[in-house]
Amino acid sequence: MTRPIRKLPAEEAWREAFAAFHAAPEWLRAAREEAFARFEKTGLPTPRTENWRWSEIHRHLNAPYPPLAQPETVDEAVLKQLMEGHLLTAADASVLVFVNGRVSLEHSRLMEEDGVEIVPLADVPLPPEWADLSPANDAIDLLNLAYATDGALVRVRAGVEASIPLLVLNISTGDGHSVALRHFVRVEEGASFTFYEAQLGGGDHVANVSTRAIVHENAALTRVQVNQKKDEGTIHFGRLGAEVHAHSRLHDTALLTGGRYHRQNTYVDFAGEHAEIVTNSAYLLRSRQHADTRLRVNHAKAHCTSREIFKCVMDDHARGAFQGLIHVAPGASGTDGRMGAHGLLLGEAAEFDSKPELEIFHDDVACAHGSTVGALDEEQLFYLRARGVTARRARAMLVAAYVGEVFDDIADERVRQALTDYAERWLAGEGAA
Amino acid sequence: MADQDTIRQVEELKKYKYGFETEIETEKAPKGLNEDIIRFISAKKGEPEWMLEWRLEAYRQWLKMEEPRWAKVRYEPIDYQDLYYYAAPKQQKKPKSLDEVDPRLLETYEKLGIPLKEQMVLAGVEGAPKVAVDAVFDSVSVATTFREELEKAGVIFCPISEAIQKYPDLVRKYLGSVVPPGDNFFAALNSAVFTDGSFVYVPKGVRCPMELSTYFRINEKKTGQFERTLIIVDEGGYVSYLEGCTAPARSEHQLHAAVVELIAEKDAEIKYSTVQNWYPGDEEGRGGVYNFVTKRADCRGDNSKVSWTQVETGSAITWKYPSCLLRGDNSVGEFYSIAISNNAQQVDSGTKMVHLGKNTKSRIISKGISAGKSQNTYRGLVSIHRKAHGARNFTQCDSLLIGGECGAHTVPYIQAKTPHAKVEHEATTSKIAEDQLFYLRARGIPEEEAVALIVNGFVREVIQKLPMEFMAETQRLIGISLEGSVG
Repeated sequence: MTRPIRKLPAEEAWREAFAAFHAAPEWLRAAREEAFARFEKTGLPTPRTENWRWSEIHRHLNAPYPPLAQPETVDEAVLKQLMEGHLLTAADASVLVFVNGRVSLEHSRLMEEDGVEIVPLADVPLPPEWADLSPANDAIDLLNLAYATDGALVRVRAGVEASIPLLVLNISTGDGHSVALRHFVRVEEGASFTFYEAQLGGGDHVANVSTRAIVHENAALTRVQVNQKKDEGTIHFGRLGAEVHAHSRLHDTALLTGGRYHRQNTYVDFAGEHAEIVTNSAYLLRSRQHADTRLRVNHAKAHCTSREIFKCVMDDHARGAFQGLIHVAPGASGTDGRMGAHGLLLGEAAEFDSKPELEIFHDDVACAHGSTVGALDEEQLFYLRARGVTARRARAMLVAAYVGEVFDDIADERVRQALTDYAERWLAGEGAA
Repeated sequence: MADQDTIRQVEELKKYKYGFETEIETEKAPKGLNEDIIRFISAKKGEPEWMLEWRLEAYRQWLKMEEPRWAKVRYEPIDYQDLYYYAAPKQQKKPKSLDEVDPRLLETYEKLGIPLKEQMVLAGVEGAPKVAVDAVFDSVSVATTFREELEKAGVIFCPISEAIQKYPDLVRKYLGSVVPPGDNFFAALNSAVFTDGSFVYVPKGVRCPMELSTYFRINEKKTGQFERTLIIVDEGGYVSYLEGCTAPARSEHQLHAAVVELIAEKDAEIKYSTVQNWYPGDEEGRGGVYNFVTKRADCRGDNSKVSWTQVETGSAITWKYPSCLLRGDNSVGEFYSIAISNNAQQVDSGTKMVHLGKNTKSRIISKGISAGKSQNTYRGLVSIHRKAHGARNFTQCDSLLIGGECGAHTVPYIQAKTPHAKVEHEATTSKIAEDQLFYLRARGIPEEEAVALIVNGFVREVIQKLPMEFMAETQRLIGISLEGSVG
């Protein structure tokens, strides 16, 4: 494919900044250089790159966002507001706070638990042999490793069913720069762990947060991600790269409702048989917000099950996009995969694009996908109105019911309730209906 | 003896029935492609200057284009200079009637079961449906039947080369208006070198009195077939059009790059059915036709309707997306497809439904069956534009896998830009049901027959949309296509 002659300003800035860029830890230097060299070769995706076809990155990245070398300080009051005003405060968890790319231990609250290690990446003197920070073959993830300034490294030892979840707050503020965080979670044999991630802050900058998870045999990992950045500001690149081993379970839920643009890359590889994954997402977007997910579930092993539900609500001029792929490798007998991508358009100029793809190289499978787009059901609205519910409330109730399915499986009742309540409140913030 | 008979029968079934070759003298243009070849083709056809210019412009665009590689098909690069772009059965002069057509050609069509001779149909059962046939042999239309009867109704049905001569205004107005020459790589190639195809014009308020049909046959070695079909149905008209294709079995690949344009004006309806049975190549993927086709319908007028029905069993590679541009308000697009792949065949096919007008409706039913080592992809687009209030789409695509080495892929694109529309898409992929197989086997039905029965049930929804004549043929074809896929 021919590439545009002019590189995007953001890409140029990222190409130029590396020579002068230095960040701890020192042992990561070689890996960074290699990642950067690979990035230099591939460059950013273009509007013609299939996996980015609905991303409009040429529009979003049309300004330079050089990496932030020194963390900018944030006003205490603003920080306090951010830390207390997000949806995952409902979680009873250890809290690890990152502010503009560096851990802030004074704002964090880590509770000790036997068999659970949690360390900030930049503070680790030697490369921990249990952590795998290698990048994916993806321009954004290569950039992430090249410019990562910190991250949470988590190890849950074999057999430990952790009772205290970890809540990571990725806070970034300010204009005209980019920050990158690289998290790693390893859940060893028979262990279980819950990991919450909130994307907070605001301002015209790029946040690049990559999380890699390895779930070993018979283990379980639950992850809930919320993007609650202030509207119209931040460009967020989120990534979850998960490796799921035999008889293990990964349950991933995301609510994307903040920022100017959120691109989520979720790549799940089955590395053993009889494993199970769920990855569900809700988009609640308004004004000119844009959320875009690329999901790839790789059924490389037999007898694995995957469930993906995307419920996307777009108001005003918002745009939601979904590109999902269930890949079934030759020999992956007994594969059971189901993918649903659904868009609800509220605004006259709202848009939903979806590409739920099946790629199947074996016959002994049961795979299905469904995708729908539409508006709120007039009959349902009428039913509620006839029972004295105001039009605005009726719409809010139907929106909450629509996305509710995504949160149904969240085990922590308070977190589930917080997300469901938010969905119902969300529409109240809209202009005169 | 009985055993011998069975063995022979089985052997015959395994063979591609239409794989014979007709020995006939042909006139060919020199190998390769350049502006001179295009001038040669244009001169052979006695075309007016504007047509030649149009071709040359398409050729110049083609030179700048890249061959598309996004489809899930793999093949060795095609050497476009190693092909003949023009091959025609040698004739002293244009035949005035069917009697003057080379009897060997007629024999070919008889072997294929195509009723070229009007008498054959007329002599048949009383009340049997009449079908007018345009037969295209390599690059040239050899016969068109029932022309007089059609002319009485005001319907024009003739080879496009003749239409360029006789109805230049119609051709100039509509040719390339749905698929512009620069639309894609293969459409540009076709625009430059197309040699023949069918032309249909149904005037205002006319319901075409019989089904129209074109039969395509590639015979020559190393020949590309580039036919161009243009069907225009004026206000309130209706036509049902059938298309069939075969080719001899050859060890090298043959290229077929056609363009089909349909135009439906206000209140008009077009029903377009295809049974594509080009030579698929052998078990190892040697030989077979590369079928790279652009088919598009323009529902220009309000309340117009276009229905595509396709049965794809042949070709080594199929790259084909019959589409509908739903521009008129209340216009309707339909796509019913059966795509069967076996052995080393590769299929990447589907449709595009572009909703532009208000209250436009589309329906997509796609059934893919893959067996052997074949790869079968459904690729479709449903696009709802901002002003398409009240648009509605329903898509169902199901895939059936027979054997552990084949692949079935589904790549749907859904784009909606207005809340006043509704799109529903569902897809399933599974293997042939063990319990159904067992049920049939327990009743003494041999495995291959049982598979054919189940597959026929699986595709029933689409078969019902086919014209009568094609239904029985298709059911038989399904059985033949899946030979050797089980056991």
